[in-house]
Amino acid sequence: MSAMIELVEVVKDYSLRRRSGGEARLRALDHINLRIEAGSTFGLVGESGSGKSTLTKVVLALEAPTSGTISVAGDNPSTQSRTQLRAWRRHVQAIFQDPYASLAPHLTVEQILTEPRRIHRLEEHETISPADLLSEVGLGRAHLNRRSRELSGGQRQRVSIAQALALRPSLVVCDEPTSALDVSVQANVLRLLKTLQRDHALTYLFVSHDLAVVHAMADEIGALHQGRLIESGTADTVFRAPSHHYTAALLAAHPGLTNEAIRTSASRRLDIALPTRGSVGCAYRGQCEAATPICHTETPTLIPATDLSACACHHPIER
Amino acid sequence: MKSDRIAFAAGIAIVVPFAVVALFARWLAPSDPNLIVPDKKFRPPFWSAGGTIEHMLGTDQLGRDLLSRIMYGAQTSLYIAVGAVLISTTIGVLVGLVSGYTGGWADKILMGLTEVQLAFPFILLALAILSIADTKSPPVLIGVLSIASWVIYARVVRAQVLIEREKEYILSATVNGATRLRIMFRYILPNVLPLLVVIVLLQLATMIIIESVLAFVALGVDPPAISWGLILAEGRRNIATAWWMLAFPGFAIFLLVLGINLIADARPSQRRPTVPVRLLDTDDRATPHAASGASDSNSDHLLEVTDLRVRFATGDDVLNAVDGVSFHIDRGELVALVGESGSGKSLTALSIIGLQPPAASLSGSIQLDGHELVRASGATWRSIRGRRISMIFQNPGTSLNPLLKIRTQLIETLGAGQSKESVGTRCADALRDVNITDVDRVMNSYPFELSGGMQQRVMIAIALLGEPELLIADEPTTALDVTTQAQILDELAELARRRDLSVLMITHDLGIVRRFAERTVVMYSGRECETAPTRQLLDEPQHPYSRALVETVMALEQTPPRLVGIDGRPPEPIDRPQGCAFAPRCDRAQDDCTTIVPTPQTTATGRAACLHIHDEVVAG
Amino acid sequence: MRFLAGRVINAVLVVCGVTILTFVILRVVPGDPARLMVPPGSSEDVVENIRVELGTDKPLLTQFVDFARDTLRGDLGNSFRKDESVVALIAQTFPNTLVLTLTSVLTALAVAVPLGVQAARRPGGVIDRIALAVSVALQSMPSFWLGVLLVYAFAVRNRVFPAIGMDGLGSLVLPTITLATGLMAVLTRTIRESMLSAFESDYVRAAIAKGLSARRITWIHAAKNASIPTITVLGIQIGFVLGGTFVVELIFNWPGTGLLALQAIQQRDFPVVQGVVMVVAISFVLVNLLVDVMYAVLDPRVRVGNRNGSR
Repeated sequence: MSAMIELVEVVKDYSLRRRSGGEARLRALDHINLRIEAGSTFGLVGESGSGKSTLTKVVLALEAPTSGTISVAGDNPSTQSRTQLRAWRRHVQAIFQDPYASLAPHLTVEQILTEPRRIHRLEEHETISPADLLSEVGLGRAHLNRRSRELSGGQRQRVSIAQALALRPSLVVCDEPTSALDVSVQANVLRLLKTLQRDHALTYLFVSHDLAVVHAMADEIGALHQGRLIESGTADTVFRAPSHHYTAALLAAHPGLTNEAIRTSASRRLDIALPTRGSVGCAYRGQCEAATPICHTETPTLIPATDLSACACHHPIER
Repeated sequence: MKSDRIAFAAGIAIVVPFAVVALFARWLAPSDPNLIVPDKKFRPPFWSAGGTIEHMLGTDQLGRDLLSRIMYGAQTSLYIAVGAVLISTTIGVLVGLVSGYTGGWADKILMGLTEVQLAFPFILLALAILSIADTKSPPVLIGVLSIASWVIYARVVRAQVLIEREKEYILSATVNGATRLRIMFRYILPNVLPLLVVIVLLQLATMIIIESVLAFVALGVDPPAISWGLILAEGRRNIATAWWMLAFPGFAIFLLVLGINLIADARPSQRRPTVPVRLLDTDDRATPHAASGASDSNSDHLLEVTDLRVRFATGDDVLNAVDGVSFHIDRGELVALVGESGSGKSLTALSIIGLQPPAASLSGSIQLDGHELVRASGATWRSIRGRRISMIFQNPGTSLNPLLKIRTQLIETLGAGQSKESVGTRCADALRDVNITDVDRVMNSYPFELSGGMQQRVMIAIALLGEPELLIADEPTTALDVTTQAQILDELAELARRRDLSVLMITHDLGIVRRFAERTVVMYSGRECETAPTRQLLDEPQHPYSRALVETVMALEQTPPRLVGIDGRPPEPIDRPQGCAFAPRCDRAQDDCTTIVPTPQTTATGRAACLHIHDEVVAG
Repeated sequence: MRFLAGRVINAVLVVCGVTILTFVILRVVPGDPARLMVPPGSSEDVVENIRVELGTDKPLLTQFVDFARDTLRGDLGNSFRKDESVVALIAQTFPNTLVLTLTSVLTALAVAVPLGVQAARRPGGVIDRIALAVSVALQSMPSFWLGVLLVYAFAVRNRVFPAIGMDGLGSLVLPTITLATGLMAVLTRTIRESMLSAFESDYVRAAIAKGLSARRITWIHAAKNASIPTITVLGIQIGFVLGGTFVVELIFNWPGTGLLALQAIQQRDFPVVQGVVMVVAISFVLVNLLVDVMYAVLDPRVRVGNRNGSR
């Protein structure tokens, strides 16, 4: 099977100009190597500052990587001309977190759903009508004339999904798509996403801070910490038996996803503040109980930990 | 607000006649404004001795009719002001839009230019230019005025564009393949224009005044065009003889500008300020400790909420955002109040500490150790807040004053009458209690220098300084990282145990409930749904809503995971259905569920408000 | 401190920009000052002589270089019309303008601060309604009309205050009232808005929950935060005042730089105009620099620069 997304040694640096003078370099993505197969759902987890949003921006070609190569839906967006890029965008779409900010406030639902067609200058008969798109996401025609402020959070998110699918993409990046929704509504939207994936053979890059949601949606998982991919593998393996101490800590924070094994291996967390981002050594060494001198001097690389997962740690958790 | 509408109407009532006069001066003016009749000079207005109706507002030093001159003055004024505003707006908006969206060098150059131009004593230079110009026709004045003012629009538009640019609907448009041009004009511009309306109006007023000033110093439009400023200048020269030459044109300027300002102010989007009644009941006329002493009832619960309703009256509607909630908290108990949007959980929490919005009215009872808090006086609240009941909020970053040091914000909680050392020690101890080790650094820091977790710890420390009996925590960890969240919840539980502190935790997250609370109250659409010890609520939920909610959350965590939701969505108070609020979404609803509002009944595990709660047991 | 250094450099650049711009505009706008100084119909030689005297016969670039060089030496040239150096003229008049501006600003603040704060404490209340109504009205009043009316009422009809000239403290009253009125209206509204905004903030809500007194919340918490947008507006408004004193100085015959500039403009006395524009621009820039300093004093985020960020 061909890879839908492939990142090789991707680095993304931002330079910040401090008000107090001088410049600082913030390494948001630190040599990411990632491969996502077509037709699957890849769950990306991480806390704030992990680089999740930067990764989605790079995949969506909203930002160019500082170095490294990326291949998304068969092409490298950083090397394409403007026309090629626009054509490429038909295959790669996104759904964002904030249902209140992700729909243009001044357009009606119908206008929002016809934008993709207009942008790519396609004829009406070549695309799916707004009414049909709405029914695919479980909304009726009555919504066509409404503006986003007249819709509920769940309805707005459905419209976002409808817009994303308007031109039948192959990859959809879901950036915290249900985090702002009520719990009881969340599951319905997730179910919709799963159904649509089946019906249209979609690949999802699913980003979320909510481990339970990722657990329910993802086939494969990757965990980011301070810009580094510290563990990846099948959802089953990583959730049941995480190899990296940080992954274990994430799971331990979630009573429903923890088991005894995880809880003990992630027992006490240290809290030593170190400027670890982008530097040599393991970025987690300030919090990791199991840190030893080598963790300070050598950056761990992503190597297989089990048959179905890999982790970047000098002392991976043994099972 | 009524007065807003009156102001708006008044503004329109003023501006429209001026506009009409300006457009139709030729037909409306009683006489030729430039007709010199030396015999009739300095005639006073018609109500003074010597005045005639023919010249209602009197005549000037050349016998010209003042009223006509003022009417033509309106024409000049509005023509120039509107012209200048139109041109400068167009230029300013385009420049601000392009520079704000594309950024880069164009933006830097533009910003530099605007800074220079803003530092410019423009009006002096306008004067200089006009003094040299051969003709001072209206277009020339429009040109000069436009050049000065476009900068203001550019800055405002640019600032707004910078904000809109980061919003997700713009990212979405980019992902859809929209060109930059399309994004600028089809997406950003329509969302920026509404803000301009006020600025445009205010600038219009400014232009009218500037035009008059220029004419006043003899650098306005050339004759035969007439300007109010010119009449005023002539009036000044004849100040002792003809006060009306001074009064009326000036009044015309004043009135027109006032009208425009009234319209500009009364925009519908304007935030209606709410009277900070909460601030009022912190007035210093309070005598503290009004709520200590013997209690009225012999309840042995620390907090007892009975049939609490929080009502908002908006126009003709009366909304019960909270519609009958009852629960209690004992000393040292950790209770969670769980609900989704529209549940009323936050409002309930705020009401317990008297921080409900001023527009809300409470009914029912909230008793702290027997003392009634509903409709408590300001004095009572001052003795309770911070001392018997404390509250921490969702966003610690904004709940701390960004301009004050942590030390200040700690110390002020303790109030007066204690030695400096003891205050210092107490604050340091409070920080250590929340597991902050670097106490000195934190005390001397400003909030923005601390991480989110640290900020929330500081907030907890502040809340506990007064040694309250009850701590209300409104989604305190929602804004924090998962791992920090867990840490803080555990630490808070530990702290509460040590101090025999009761905690009321408001949350939408069953995971937090599971981790923290001993007992849980589930709310739905402003009403109490189910109350039970947490363990039992999660293992055997009785109410159909709790059952569905628990199942939804648990299903995600199972292996294999299941996606089970509840059809529909939680109603807002205004959409609350008749009868049981959950009936439309309930798979066990029966006919009476849509007419009768269920009241809580005792169940095996606690209480639940469902008409058919015991039917289940029978059915097996 | 790097922040301030940056602002100072910025300020210098702005002043340079203003100067160049003024120079260019004055020279480029059609109309030959030399010609305007002599009776129409004079021979070309006469006009040329005037030009040589003024220095306007030289190519533009040379004129600019001369000007730049002289300016840096502190020599702003000589007035075309009067027999004095521009620097001297400005030195005589600028202090008067400063006095007027300062008293106006202080007066405006003295009224606006208590009024605005009290209006915000009880929005919709009596003081608030009065404050708003009066502010809208005063804001709409053109200052030159107000000035003339005041002259009429207090100097012509009833001789309470001197009408013209700068002559003791009494003569300061009417011009100050004229200038301060509009400023006071704008400031009252700004203070009210920013205080209201502060009252509705999360940190005030948390402060109330802590049991703090209304006085402390108003003056320590809300006022400190509200002063930041207020200072911004104040800086801009002072700029307007500085640029607009000429009207008031004209009406009251107050010997300030505004009046000087006005007369110079009417007499095509370019060096004086140039000099005044520069001085006013520098003042404006200094005021803004002061505003920046105040930001740094009030707001620690500006001073320190986000070291750790909020997460």
